[in-house]
Amino acid sequence: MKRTLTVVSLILVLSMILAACATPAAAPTAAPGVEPTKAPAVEPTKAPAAEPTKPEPAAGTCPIEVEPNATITFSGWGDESEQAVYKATIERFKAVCPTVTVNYSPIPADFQTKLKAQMAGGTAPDVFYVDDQLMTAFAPTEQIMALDDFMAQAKVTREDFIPALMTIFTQNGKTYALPKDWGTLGLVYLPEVFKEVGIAEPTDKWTWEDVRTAAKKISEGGKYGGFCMGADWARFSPFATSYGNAFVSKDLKTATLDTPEVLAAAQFVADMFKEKSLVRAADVSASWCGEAIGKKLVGMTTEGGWMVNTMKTTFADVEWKALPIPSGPKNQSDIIFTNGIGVNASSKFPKASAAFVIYATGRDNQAEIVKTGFAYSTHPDQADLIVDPNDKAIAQGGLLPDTIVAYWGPNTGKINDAVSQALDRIFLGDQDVATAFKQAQAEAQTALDSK
Amino acid sequence: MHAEPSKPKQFHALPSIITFVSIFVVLLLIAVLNAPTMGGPKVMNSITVFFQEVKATALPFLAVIAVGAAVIGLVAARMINKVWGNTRLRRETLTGFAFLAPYLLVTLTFTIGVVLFAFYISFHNYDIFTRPTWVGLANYAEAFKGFSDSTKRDFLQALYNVLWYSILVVPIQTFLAIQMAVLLNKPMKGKQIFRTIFYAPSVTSSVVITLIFVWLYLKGGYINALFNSIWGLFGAKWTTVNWLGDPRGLIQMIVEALGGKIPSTQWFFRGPSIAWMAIMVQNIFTTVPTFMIMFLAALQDINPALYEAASMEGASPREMHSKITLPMLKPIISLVVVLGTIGTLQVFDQVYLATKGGPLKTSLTPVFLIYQEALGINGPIHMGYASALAFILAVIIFIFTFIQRRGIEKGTERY
Amino acid sequence: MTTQAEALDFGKQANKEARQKKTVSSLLRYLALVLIGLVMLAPFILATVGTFKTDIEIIAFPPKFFPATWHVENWVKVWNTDIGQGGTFPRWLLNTGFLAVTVAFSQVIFGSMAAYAFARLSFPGRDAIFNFMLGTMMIPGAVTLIPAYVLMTKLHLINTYWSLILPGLVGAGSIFILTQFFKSIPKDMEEAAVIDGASHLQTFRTIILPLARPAILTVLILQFQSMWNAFLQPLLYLNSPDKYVLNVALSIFQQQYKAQWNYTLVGAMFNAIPVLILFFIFSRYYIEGVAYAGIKG
Repeated sequence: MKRTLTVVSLILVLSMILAACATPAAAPTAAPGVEPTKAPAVEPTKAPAAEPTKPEPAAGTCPIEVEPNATITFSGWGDESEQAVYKATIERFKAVCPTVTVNYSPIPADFQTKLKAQMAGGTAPDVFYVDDQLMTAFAPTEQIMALDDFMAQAKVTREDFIPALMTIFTQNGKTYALPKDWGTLGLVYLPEVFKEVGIAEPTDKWTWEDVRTAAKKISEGGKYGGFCMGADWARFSPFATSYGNAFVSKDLKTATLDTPEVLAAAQFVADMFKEKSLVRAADVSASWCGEAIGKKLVGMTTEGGWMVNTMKTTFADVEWKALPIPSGPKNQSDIIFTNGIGVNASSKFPKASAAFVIYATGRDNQAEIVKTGFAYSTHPDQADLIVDPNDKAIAQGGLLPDTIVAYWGPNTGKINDAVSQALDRIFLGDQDVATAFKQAQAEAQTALDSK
Repeated sequence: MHAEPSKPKQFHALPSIITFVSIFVVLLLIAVLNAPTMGGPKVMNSITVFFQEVKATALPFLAVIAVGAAVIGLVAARMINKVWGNTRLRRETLTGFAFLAPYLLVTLTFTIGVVLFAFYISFHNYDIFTRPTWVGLANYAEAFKGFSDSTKRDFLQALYNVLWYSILVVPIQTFLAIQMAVLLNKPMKGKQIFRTIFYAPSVTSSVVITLIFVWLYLKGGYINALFNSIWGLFGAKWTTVNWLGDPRGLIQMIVEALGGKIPSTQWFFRGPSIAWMAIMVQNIFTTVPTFMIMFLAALQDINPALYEAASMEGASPREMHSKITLPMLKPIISLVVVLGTIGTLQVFDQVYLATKGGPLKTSLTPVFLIYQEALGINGPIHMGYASALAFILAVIIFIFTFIQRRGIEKGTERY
Repeated sequence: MTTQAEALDFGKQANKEARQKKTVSSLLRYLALVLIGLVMLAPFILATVGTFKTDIEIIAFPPKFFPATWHVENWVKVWNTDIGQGGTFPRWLLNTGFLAVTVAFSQVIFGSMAAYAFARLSFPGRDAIFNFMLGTMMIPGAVTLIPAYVLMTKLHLINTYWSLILPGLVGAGSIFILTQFFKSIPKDMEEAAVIDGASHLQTFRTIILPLARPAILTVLILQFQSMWNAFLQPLLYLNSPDKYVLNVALSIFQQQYKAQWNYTLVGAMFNAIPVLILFFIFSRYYIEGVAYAGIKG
């Protein structure tokens, strides 16, 4: 017993000493931006080590009148580059609304679960990121505030923002969060592969057919894969919409996965896979298509702005180019991933919180964020502020009129999963396109019908 | 012989009443703490609002518990009444309950109260931020809708997965544990060291083991490399397998190797997927040592004279093993099988860390589904439904272990 | 007719063969044991060696066993991780250790009290409560998981250490082991004390507890390990980085360093090493404890 106690106390003492001596550190480098996971709860482009910019001399005034001596807590996810961006945002906000103190406490993992836990227990922060999962959890019961009144006070309207972005954060015509950034997909390719195979590089007028032809030529050589794509609803969405239909009807009541347009798009992808012009990342021994490009295993893929940082940090000497998303038979359209910031309805300082949200998503702040290369601005007129040309090209997809956000209501995750799994079964050879998407349609409809 | 006149039954009013009242109050307090109400900041940050909500939704719950509390209170009061007269008995009873008090309080609040809450909620729709609404048996029915509607088959598929898990893992881990224990049971040098080394995997947390195995199972990881070298010895080429991402079922692969095909509508014939079996292997790796230790201890209890007598009669080692060792181990085997079943039917950590239910839901387990539904990971929060699933699982576990205990006990009756 | 010499020779020969057989079989046994030992340790060995590799080496195929150079800085880097708001490795180590030790000792204290009541005292309701306790051991964790979480939010204990300590103050498993052990202690020792007028509390403290050292050690170790390796409860209950336990931090690590396995494995090693060290020091008690629990179960 005594021995146990001694050993145990030794361990405790040791850890306390170590805790005292631990250098407040060089944080480890961020992981390469992996392709987005299901929900639009996806990290936007990562910054190349963004420095917190010095606050501008107060360019504006506080968007709305705030409570005196307000102190608010602000929470979100993200790695150090994202945290740096928002620390800078807070600095700028302080210059504009000096009476408000903002305490920033980021939650790097399991954000949605933790936030639901905090909200249930009454300890949620005043301002926090809102994605589709949190919209579903909080908006119907008004745990987050409708911001329209505050927006009116600040002379901010819904039209200020890229229209597609507002769909997630709207309920019954009211705005429950404002989009803080967004990402989209573009055609990413390796010029040297095209040169080696002897075909012309893609242009921004390309269609999926052009992609297929080129991919076929590239893969015939045997050295490179043609076009990299996984069994992923997000990568499939541009195909579907450019063929004329999304996964769900506009009124969010009916799944449209068995419509001729979606089936045609799926058949196109299935045919590409069968003739081996389309390969999955795993097929070329990469963990995601961005890595496949970086390791020069494939000629093309569709990826987002995070490629800028990935290529710069991990594959610095590989030359790559990006173009807007290719078009399909019916239109040219892309998919948007976005997240917003919302206000806790039980916040003790609703005005200050709303002011922060409006500022962070406003033109001044968004412009600063774009300059760091971290993300795109949520205002359509600021698209030309993007610095990196590849990034700029990718971003074009987001501004197209038929581009959508893959948000289908509370059960978005299940519907998107149904699509991914259908593609998986097709690639495995388990089912043909019709059967696979018939099953996906049934599953999606069940998800839409459930509460 | 005269019968001893029985002592007159005294009624000790004060102690009985105090007992009854205190037990009733404590139990009711625990009930109020656990009362099923809406959550959210408005309720949590104000006692008045909380009590309003309790009045609105939790009265039936409190009523039922009040009845139970009254019954328990009465029983306790009667018992106190009985022992109060006898000083020694009184002292022992009071000391006994004083010593038991911490355990009882903790268990009543955090286990029993919670289970009662879960049971009550399982008959409601509850998403935390609105009031629970009564739906009767709808949640329980929903779990089994998969029989008629294949888009709702998540729970059934989860049950299917853990059943396979149980059927494969429990016998294998029991068998391996016995073999290893028998191997270690001979007196020899270094026995302690081997014993310690063998037990090491069981000591670390499932998170650590799962992460290491996820890495080993990578397409370019050591396990594929191992197979590569083995295949290479025979001059064959090994195609690397994405172990944790391969949804092909065991039976499906056998059937396909023989040229057949199992249609996707009959997914339940496909057997456990490669990914799922990979997780099974990892699990066996961590549980075998613990069970091995138990078998070792039991083996050491077997009288060596039995073996001597048997060997003098010319019994072979194989016969001694099956006729002496195994029967003597029956109680431990029973324990290991029951513990193993209870464990395998509740797999969660590995799924959460490694596969999150995939690929194609072949590693979905009931506890993972409960977690998803209760916290609204892939849709709205469905706490009522999650509770119903938990109780269904509890019943299944109970039935399984009951049958197993019976079966093994029957086997031991001969001895 | 064999002569005595021949018989002796025959005997010697038979003995020699028997011994050779024995040697061969024990050699085979050793071989099997060594092989199994290697298999058991292989993941740890591979992982530890892997922590010194670069993030490209660690996923290279076919994998080379040894790294080209031993990158000790991986360990330093991970040790110095700071995810903000006080989330650092030493802190997580402290949290995990603090919780494990607290729960272990509390289970011993309150558990032995309950065990004493079950083993030594006789009062109405004792057996009923004992059986009730055994029954609670059968409740699957899934049933209590989420409602316990709701209860914690009501008690405003989310993100406090109490949310893990209070439910872990005492448990059926520990009580069971301790009860069985107490029952096995012969009563004579206490009888002397009782005659001298000692109260139950005194008997408990001065006689039973010292005698129960093996069982107490067993419970300490099993509970320490169980709390150290706990994952789901800490994941749900402890939300801010300065309160994470090692397991939770490790799962965050996995998400943060997705493809950089060398760092993730360092994190895993930090989690495993303290427990492994404790285990190797106290292996005898660990193993006897498990065996003891198994026999009595």
